[in-house]
Amino acid sequence: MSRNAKLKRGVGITALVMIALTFWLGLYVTPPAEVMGNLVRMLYIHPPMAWIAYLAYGITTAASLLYLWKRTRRREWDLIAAASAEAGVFFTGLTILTGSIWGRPAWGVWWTWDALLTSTAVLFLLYLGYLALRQVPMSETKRGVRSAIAALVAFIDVPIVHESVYWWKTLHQTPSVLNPSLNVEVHGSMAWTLLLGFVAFTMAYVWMVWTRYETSKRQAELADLEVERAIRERLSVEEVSL
Amino acid sequence: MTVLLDRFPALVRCDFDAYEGEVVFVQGPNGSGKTTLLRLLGGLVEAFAGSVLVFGRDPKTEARAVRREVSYLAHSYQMYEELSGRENLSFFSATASCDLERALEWTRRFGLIDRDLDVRFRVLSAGQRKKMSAAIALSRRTELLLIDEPHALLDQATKATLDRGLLELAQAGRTVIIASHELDRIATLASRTYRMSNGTATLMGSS
Amino acid sequence: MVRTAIAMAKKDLRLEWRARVLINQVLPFVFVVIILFAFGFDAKVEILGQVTPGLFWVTSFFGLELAIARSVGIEGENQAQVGLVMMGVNPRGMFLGKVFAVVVEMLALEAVLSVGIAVLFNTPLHEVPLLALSALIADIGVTTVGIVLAGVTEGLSGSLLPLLLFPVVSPVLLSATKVWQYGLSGSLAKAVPWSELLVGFSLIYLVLGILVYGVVLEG
Repeated sequence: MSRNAKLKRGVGITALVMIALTFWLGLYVTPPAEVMGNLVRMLYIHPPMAWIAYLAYGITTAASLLYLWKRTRRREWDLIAAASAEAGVFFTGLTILTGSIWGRPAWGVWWTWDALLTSTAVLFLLYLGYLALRQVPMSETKRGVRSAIAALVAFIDVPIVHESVYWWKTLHQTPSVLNPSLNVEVHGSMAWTLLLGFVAFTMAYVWMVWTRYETSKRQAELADLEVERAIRERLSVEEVSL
Repeated sequence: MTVLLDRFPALVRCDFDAYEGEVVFVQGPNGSGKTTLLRLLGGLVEAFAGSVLVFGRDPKTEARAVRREVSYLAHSYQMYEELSGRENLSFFSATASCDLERALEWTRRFGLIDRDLDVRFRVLSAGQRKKMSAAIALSRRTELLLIDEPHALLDQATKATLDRGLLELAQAGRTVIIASHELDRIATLASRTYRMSNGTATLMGSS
Repeated sequence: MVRTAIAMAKKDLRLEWRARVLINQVLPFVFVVIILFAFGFDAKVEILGQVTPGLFWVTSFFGLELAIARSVGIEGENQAQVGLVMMGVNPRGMFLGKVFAVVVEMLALEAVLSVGIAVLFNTPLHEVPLLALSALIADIGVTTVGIVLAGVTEGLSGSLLPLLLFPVVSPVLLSATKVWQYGLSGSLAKAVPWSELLVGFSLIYLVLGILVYGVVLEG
């Protein structure tokens, strides 16, 4: 096994162990919060997931920009952008899901058209569209350029969506996520667990993107081999015809 | 250079050059890579390996600068169906460096009458449409003309007019590259001939 | 650039006038959507009156999406766009021309649509200049992103464009709906912040579109 592969496996195992540890600390060791009670335990995984989603989209945007700029255009950037967006959509989905599970006992509903929830849902759709675009068969450069543009548009849109939805909701209703009565003071073992959660999920993200990137890179290299075979074939046909 | 079209190697280790003011004939059977070669020179496809220079510029990085010097008569008509010929011509003269007077002049030389210019493009016959596209390609003030299979849809008289026209342009110092599988007529007009086969070009004896 | 934009817009509008896709297909479709809403809300005029601004903008979004797809589709026939790219035509001019044409078409369509809604949903139209102006700005916002994304999805399956376009332009639609809501209820002061937001969003999209359209054409 190469050093690279060992390192990647190390990251994967560490992520797994740390996530398990976060769950153990979150579920058994940390105390319930004063107001929220046991509901507070969602805190250890929900914000880290949301953070990963934003991190992932940031990386997708950076990689897409590097791809769009002709001097730095490399297949690798396109593949990283795609891998990171996949992880981003996955974690956005988890963020919505965990938020919804938390919302049911906390607010009494699975879903509410609150500013944060609505803009997260739009964010989810934005990148779902990006992934859908990538699924369409196209030549490599074409797909790279087109999806990089879509990624760029989506990223610029994130703050705009957030801003507008926030306005929309806060001009009339009090924001429910930031409801002060539900605020928790994070201290002691809770803070450490939350920090661990952030690190654990970031490690998991790195491992996911890394693995996905290597898989798609191998697929692309396989396609290259296919091309070389086709080139040889075309050259050999010529020898016969001459 | 080598060019891939969606992983298919359309051109393989293909060497090609043309000098100013010459007519180069690219001859070869269907699927031998003639069109891809022209598209490469116009910056519509990129080389996978190797280098391409058009007037010392790389069409990949300086696409717009190259294209301003290149006219391309393609297979597709590249015209709007619901506009008349005249409207199409004036649209392209307003947006691209196409000279309206000269384009109209070419349509007359190709034997199109006023009525053909005033009906919608979609009612014209394939040959008439081709003449219209050719008029645009020939009337742009560009240094290089890429002409792809022009003879397939044209009648004898028009073919002769087109050939004469291309020769005139070459004598005026422009470079013309014609791709076709028809051997006979262009060979007399061309200063050099490349034979394309399975994605590579071989230079035939100069005439 | 301006010359190209004018020629492009004139050409698109002339083509639309000849083919009448908007009048013959999009307008009837838009009314189908209106009738569907009436069915969905059990044809209760009180509810329909309340939700008129939202319905108007949802319906307009469908119309815009179709008009944008059509506008980009025109360039696909006979590969006219390849020709334009090959001739080194100014991409910014092309972009602005296409946006202008679609916006003009949409304003005409929305004028008919708003009268239709006013009659069918029994909603009297107030503050018409404000409504018209906000429609103009919102149409610019949606069309600029739309033309870019339609270029990105050009030649691919038709359902991709709405999927990509809707989330991106949702802030514009939201602001426009708000402006209409306050405009229709006559509370102009409340419409002001939303109008500012609308102008801001549309400007961002317009600038973004001008910047990236050249890259879109190369793809």
